[in-house]
Amino acid sequence: MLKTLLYVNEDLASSIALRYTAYLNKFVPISLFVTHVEEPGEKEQVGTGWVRRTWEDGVASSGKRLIDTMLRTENIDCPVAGQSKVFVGDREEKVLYELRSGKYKLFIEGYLNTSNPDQFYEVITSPLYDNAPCPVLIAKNLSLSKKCALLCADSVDPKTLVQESMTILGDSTFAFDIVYYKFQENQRLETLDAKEGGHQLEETLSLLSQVGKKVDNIVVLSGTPEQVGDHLREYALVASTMPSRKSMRMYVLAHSLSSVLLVR
Amino acid sequence: MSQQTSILILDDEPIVSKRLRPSLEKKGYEVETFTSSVDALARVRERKFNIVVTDLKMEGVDGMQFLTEVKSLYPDTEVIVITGFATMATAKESFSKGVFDFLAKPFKLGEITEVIAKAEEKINNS
Amino acid sequence: MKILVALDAKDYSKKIVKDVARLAENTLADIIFLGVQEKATEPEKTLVNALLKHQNDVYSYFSPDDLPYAELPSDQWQERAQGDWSISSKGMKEFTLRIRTGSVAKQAVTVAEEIDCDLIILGCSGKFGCEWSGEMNVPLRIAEDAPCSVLVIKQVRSTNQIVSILDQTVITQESLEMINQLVTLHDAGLKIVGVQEKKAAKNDEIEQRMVGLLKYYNDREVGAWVKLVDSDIVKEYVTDSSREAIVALWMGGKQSLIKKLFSQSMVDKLLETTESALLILR
Repeated sequence: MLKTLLYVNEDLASSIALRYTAYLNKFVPISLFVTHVEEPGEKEQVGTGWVRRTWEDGVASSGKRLIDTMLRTENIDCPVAGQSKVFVGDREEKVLYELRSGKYKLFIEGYLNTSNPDQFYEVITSPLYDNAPCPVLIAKNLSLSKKCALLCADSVDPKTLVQESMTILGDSTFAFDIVYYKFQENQRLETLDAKEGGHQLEETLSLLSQVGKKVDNIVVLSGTPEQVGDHLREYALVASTMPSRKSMRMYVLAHSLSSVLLVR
Repeated sequence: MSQQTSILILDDEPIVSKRLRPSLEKKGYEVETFTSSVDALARVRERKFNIVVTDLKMEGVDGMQFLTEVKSLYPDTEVIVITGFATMATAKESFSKGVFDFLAKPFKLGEITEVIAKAEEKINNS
Repeated sequence: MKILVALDAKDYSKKIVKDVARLAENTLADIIFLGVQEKATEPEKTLVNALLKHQNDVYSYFSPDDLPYAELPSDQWQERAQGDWSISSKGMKEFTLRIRTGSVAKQAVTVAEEIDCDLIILGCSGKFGCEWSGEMNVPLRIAEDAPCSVLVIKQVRSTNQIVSILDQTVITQESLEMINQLVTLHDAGLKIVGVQEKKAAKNDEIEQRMVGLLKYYNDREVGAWVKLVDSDIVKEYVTDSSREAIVALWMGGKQSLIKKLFSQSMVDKLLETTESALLILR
């Protein structure tokens, strides 16, 4: 069982993430913990010592009620391993602390897909993602697919991609495709011959075979990030190494309609 | 006085029953509506309806299973299929199971009430 | 379901008949073929022949055992009123040919209102916002006044995606059902695109609608995806999408953001650039 921390807010992105996680659980058995951080504004904060602790307890229990209501409303088909963990304070700090102290293997949160890649870039370069001790899954959409893709490109280190993705997906029942991406300003997305993929493609294939994973399809795509992102909708999940800069691969991930698993 | 024709409506979208029910009751039908196929199935096991209007694509027991069960319990109940996801295959399968008519959504109230009236006529003439 | 199809003898009409037949086969809809001619005291031979040919093409699409329509009784057109003729057959479902005089856009709307149909389908020349025998912007003029959704088929091609553009306009159950039928017909996925005004702080209403729809389709095992698009790039986004996907636009309501963004000329341009079809929803 993969110990997983799901961050939940009272918003629609979280509602997608909850349902998506339940779907993921059908393929990757997970032990699910749910967390939420109440971030009171400066003016709302009160006192020190006992007064503050009592106030924090009040805020936390109202946050807990909110999350419990959300869990009840969504009524997901995935058991939650323990009580939801609600903190008061800085969201990134508290989640990072929980991820480290709880030794989670995966962190999931929802993200409402937008056409603006800068918003996505801001999320993946945030201190939380930068310092996360485990892979991060950004749940963007629901899925009916039984396939996932490993996203390969010139800038990808195949060893990291395969090794780290497999810590999450190694025991899953997903079928695997390797998608190799090449940027090209085309009117339409083009599918190229497998040999058009770089050496990273061969290495990824070989590394996957070493861990006993069969690849169903090798897909070499040439087009704009929007076109490729759109094409990726056929996957339940797209695994990629964390892009460190605004590369074309980052734009593909930003435009991906599917949920994204980022490893490093 | 002739007995009221009874109609069961099953559609997991409440708006469908909400639209249909008052109009059919106004025409003198006895109407029961369900949004859950499990509940509807339990009800048809309890009693017979003259006419059943059912959606096909629903969570849980799907409409095809439901209408099969209805026809096996009460072969002379007339079943009208309404579906938002119509295909030739589902239409053919429905007719092979003896449904009276197949209506793709969207449809106007007049269209379904006309089909229900025809089903009622068939029942009365048989 | 009741479908009104506006047709003439031109190529753009011939091209859509197969799509109409597929939809009729899937939905077992009542079909009305409408031809419009300039003033005359009787139906014009060319138009009559064209409608009969189109009707025959639809009938031939079905295997004889599956045809839900009866043969048309004869070639005797009945005059319903001055400048209004029809022939009709009633099998399990009804098939009607109708000819009226006047302007195409106006007559299509009049008949749609009279028969209370659920969808109007027409082809599109792609010229001058879709010219029909000298009448300009026919699809848009029909869509402006139609009591139901309008499907404009520019080119018949297989598509695996329907892109529906949402704004704050009220989404009717009928329009959703129309999308469902198109998704089923093309075995396509559905991209639900919410248009967000860049200046607006929060788009709760649109987001809620998007996610609500996403769950609706997911529950029904229809592949659907959501995406928020800024209003300043939505025209470009829709034009790009229309190259391969069928675009569905809700254009009802005076407050409609889409209506504001998609001026008449924009819809015309979309019809010029689209390589598949445009569904204007009500």
